[in-house]
Amino acid sequence: MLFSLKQIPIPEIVRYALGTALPSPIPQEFLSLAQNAAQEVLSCCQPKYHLVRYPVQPLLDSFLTGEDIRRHLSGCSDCVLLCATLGSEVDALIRRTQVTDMAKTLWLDAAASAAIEQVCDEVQLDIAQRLERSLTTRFSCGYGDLPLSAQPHFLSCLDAGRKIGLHLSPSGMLVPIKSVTAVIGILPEGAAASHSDSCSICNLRENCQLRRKGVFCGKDYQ
Amino acid sequence: MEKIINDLLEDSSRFWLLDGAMGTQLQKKGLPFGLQPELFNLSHPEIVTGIHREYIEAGSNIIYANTFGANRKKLSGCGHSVQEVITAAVKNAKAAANASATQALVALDIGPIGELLEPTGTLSFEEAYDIFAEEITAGVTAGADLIVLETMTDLYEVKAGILAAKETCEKLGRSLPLMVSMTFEANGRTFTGCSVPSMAAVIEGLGADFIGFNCSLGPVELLPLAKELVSCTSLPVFIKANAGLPDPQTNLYSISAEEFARCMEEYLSLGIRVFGGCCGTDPEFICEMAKMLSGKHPVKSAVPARRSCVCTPTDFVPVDRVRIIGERINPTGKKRLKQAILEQDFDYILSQGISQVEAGASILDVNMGMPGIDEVQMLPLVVKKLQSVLDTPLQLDSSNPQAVEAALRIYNGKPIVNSVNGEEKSMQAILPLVKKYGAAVVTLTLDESGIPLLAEQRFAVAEKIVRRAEQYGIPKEDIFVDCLTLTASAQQKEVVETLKAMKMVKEKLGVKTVLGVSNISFGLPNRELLNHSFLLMALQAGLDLPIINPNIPSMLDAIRAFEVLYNLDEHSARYIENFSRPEEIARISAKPVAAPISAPESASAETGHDPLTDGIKKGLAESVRREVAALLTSQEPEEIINSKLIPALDVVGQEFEQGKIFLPQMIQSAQAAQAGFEEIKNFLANHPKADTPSLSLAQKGIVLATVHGDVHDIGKNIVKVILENYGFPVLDLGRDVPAQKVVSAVKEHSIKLVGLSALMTTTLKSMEETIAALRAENLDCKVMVGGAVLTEDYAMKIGADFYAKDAKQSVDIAKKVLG
Repeated sequence: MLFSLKQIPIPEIVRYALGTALPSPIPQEFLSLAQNAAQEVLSCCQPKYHLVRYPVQPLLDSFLTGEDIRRHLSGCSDCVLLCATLGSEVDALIRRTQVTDMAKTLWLDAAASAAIEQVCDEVQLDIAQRLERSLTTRFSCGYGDLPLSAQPHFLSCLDAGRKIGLHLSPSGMLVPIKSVTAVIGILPEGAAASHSDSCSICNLRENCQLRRKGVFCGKDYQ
Repeated sequence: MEKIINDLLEDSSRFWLLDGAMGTQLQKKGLPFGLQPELFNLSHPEIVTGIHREYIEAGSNIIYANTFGANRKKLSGCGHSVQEVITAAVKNAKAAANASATQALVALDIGPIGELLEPTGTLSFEEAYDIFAEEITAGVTAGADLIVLETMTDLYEVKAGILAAKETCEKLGRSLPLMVSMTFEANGRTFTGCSVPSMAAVIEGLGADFIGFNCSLGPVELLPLAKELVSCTSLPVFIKANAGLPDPQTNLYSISAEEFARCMEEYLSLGIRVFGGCCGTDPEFICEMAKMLSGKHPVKSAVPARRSCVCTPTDFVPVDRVRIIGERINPTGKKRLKQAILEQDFDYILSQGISQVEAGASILDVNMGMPGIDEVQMLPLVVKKLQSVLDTPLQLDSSNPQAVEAALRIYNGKPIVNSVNGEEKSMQAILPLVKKYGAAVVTLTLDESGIPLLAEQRFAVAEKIVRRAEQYGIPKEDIFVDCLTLTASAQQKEVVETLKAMKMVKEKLGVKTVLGVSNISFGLPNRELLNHSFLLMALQAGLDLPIINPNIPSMLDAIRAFEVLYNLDEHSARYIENFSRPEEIARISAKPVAAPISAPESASAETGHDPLTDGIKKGLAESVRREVAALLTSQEPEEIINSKLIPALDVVGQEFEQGKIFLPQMIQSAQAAQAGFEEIKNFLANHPKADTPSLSLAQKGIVLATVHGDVHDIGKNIVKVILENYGFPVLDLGRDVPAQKVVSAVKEHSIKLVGLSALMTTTLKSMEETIAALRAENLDCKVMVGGAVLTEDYAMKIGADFYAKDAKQSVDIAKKVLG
């Protein structure tokens, strides 16, 4: 399904581009570079998404393996599998810009990363409203002990190639690059969403440059 | 047999009914979720044949064998070969067809491979071709009556499929009809951005027999797209729509069989006579369509007029007004480009393409002909590289037919071949290639006796080639005649003959014209004036495709003015739009363009610092370029590099390490320094004897690669920019690089340091294999590695010499290893 993305959060773009904690206040120079990149990404991306609702248990019994996903979905009887992509045009824009201007590329890449997250956030908000239920955060292959080898199952359950043109390369990478697949738990009625400290399950926590500086790489929900 | 089928299909007085969905029918009859539908051909042949039979009984005259995903990628690990599965599938379909009274035909059904092709994905064009060829060999051998490529979203994959179908059939001594359908979104594009006019130009050019849409959308939403397709192809069109749109909650399709048939009735007035169904349809839908068609006859529709065009999937360029062909990717007379080609400095070559497109070129000429370069290998390589960053159509320029064919084969879209001439040998070599690959062609008005002096003689050559091309089946809309510019300083009398010939060719042969303009002024002063004046004269004589340098503003101005004065730019819209742009306002009022960055261009007056150092720290590329150019008049390049550029970068690097500046700022500074290095490279290219340090690979070269299977190369490219600006020449092998390619590059250039990047845990394996391959050859080179999920420990474990946590550290490593 085509998705109309209206804006990309500018501070998120700056955060991705700098790869560190946001300076406060954010220098005007960075804000305007981020704004220009956002404009360019918005005018060229073709965001699409597709989702399917599944009961949790059969998925846990098949490809959603590991303790972390089990904990993440605990208490949920149903979940939503989601895939989303900005389309191949953004990949092409980034490839083209790399030839002549690497600094600009970095901003475009950051804007595209922020954009695909924004698409997912908005879709997720829409699901929550339609279902009138709270949802867990998105959980993707490679998080915690959910292996990347689950990715082909995600794509085939979602028929992602046919629905939104999202494929997997032989080495297990999503193409187009600016794409996401995730599972979202539908919490029982009345339950509120909680945002746990994702560093605790992250495989990179021991060597993470950001964590040493006290920075969390995910979106700050507080 | 094939003759009969071809005649039947071409008989425009009858309708053809295809079948409907297969996958959902199989699921209804017990195919477990997740199992590949094609495997049912072997395990449950009676069910598959049963579904075919239901479709035939409902009215289908052509059924698709259950082979949609029967390719080696999708079948891998299932325990059955492509040949086994396809043979069984065709047999099952034939069993139903042969038992029917109507003698239904069986199509070999080929769907997308399921992996994205380069440049978005990693599957190569050549491998895609092989995969299709294997399926087609199996299907044709098993007795399929025709071949269908369907549900395609990538025109490049379609091209691989059509070539595989045509060439495989030829090899087997057969000629099966070929139907091709693609899948579009409501925005009129496929997932990969392909437009309907590009689809039509390429598929018709490559010689498919039918063109159409399947899947995509419901019949209501597809109708406007079908109208567009019918208006841009002379091939018969077929439609296999979905049963409406799926409900986002239930994924069930929205319309009934009766409604579907009613909607399809609207397609009859477009002259469409081949129908079927896709997702959500079943035999009832076919039955309702058969009822709807009964007693009706196909509407005879006028074949749309052919138009001259070239394209890529996403950029369709009709030659309906003056279109500029950029001339700069041609090494003749360009020292810096020659050097770039020899060193395989693709970034330089690509940047030449990008700047021409930004200046207004609609098409780019690409020529790799120079001593020491194997054009057969280089031309397609550069075409692939250009097409990975630009969607502008290309003109493949070579006098070597093998190079032309190699480039034609892998070109994504419909290109121009430059060129054929009136010599028998040239026509025999080039015209069949132009026909086979559905290209347009530049036709030079010369032959065995050289360039004729008189207009009438050049016209005669043009006419001869046009007639011959038509015999090969190349329509005159695909022929662009070049009446040849002669140099005014040597052949002043003949200048006007070129213009006269062009007028004649245009009026009498009705073809488009092309002309390399800049040659006119060779050997005379103020070349720009002559080029500009001759361009205007040529446009007036009917020139459609000037081959020029679009980065010279006066040339573009001439075209803009011409289009206004000749009423080709309605309401002067393009003219006004162009001259309302700030940079154009600045140019015509001769004021300098305002700097895009708010900081003053040269801040040295305020700070008292060296202007070059300041320029690098502030990331001001233009300022640095100017300073370096000025310094080169009095200092040696080496001195500038060692005493100015590198120390400035060191300061920037320290500030980055100290957290005073951020990554984007460090890159900006590196790019500013790069502008300075580029100035020095230009200087060296033009002063080859100067006693200066070599910036070639031999001494301090570094090979960089993003490992096999990995397409995330931003990190590697950042490292490259930074390394280059510390004076290390980088041979960038790109992304998804096989280990062996790294080994060969290291051997060939005696490289002492290799940098490898990988983003994901899945591709760290490739990194390990690449290092092992280097070690196995006992090469005297160090390896540094980097990437998001990599750690120092892991880097050591897989045998790397160094772990670089960021771009700055890679420079420190390079200094340590290479000095």
